[in-house]
Amino acid sequence: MMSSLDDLLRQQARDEATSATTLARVKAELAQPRHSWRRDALRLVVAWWAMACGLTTVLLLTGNTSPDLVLSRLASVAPLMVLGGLGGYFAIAPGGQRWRGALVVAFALAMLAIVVTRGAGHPSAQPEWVCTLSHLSLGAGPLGVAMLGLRRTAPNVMRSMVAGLAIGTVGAIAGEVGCDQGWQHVMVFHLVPWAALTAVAVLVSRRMKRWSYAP
Amino acid sequence: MVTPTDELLMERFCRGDEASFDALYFRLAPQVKGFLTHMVRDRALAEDLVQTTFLSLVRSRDRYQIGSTVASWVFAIAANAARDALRHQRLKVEVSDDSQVDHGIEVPMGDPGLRTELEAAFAQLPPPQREAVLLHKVHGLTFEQIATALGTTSAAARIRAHRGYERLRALLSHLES
Repeated sequence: MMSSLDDLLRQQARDEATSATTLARVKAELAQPRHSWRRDALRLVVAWWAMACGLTTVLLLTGNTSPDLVLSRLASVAPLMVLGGLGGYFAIAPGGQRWRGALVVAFALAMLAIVVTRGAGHPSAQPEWVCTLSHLSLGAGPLGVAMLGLRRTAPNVMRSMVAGLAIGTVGAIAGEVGCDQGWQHVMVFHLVPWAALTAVAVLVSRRMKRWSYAP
Repeated sequence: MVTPTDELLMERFCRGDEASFDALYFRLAPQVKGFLTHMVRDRALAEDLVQTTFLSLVRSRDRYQIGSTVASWVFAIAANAARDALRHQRLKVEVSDDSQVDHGIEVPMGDPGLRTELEAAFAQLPPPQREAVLLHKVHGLTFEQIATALGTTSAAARIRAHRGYERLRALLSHLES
């Protein structure tokens, strides 16, 4: 009986100590500037948008693409721009699990569409892996921004997948406006790095230490 | 005087009233601690996770959607934190001797033997089923609220809980005879 009473008193003291520590940490947290998920989402969408638009401009200015080619690919670039923006937003936004599911399907359709609509294409003087390397390096910056945003949410595979797919659209847009090779090239040298970036986003996001576990 | 609801306290806290957080904490912390203790089966880890849960609530208060059930949202945070902690500790738990694990069982009430058997059976449930049974039976959440907490549909939450009950029944069948 005595031991049970001791246990209860010890437990009560522990509970009080835990409460005091938690409340002290909360007070310290409240003194910090208030965080906003909207700012994280905006940061990701802007980083993504700036990369896609900046890259197209650079390719045009350096003569690596022509206005005619860009205009002829507008039908595939415009949906990628919209999907990339939506993906960036829904990767960070609370709720929206159904939207994320729909976006994964939309990204898969977009991948299929850029292969199907490419046709035979024209051979290039550059090695084919240049496209893969560009794809991966273009995704590195937005991937870092996305991981910062995802760190503030609970681990969620769909969320990380949508972030990875959205990041991959930057390279896909570069591939659309800067590469005129055939559909076989697109399927291997454009889609594989896109899928690889998505896998990296999922794996890194799963393993990183979270700042918050809110859904 | 009418006691403010959890939702009202959360709304006030989101608007900057720090005292509302204290009230919410003292109201929800015991339930969250009970849930986490059953989930991770380690009292010290559960206490750390209670802190993580409420820190996440504070840090991500702008992610709370005004009007939604606060308990479901807080249990969702707690379940996410527990799953992540379990994932990181899986290796450690696999190699440790189960008899040395602090099950975090409170002082036994009623038949201690029966309670120990129940706890052992509970520990054998897969985490998704354990979460659903705990939230439904112990914390009294509806399947809609459990669905919100676990990020799934109401039907899936019902199925998880049903499978959990079936498994518990099978594990404890020797007690019936």
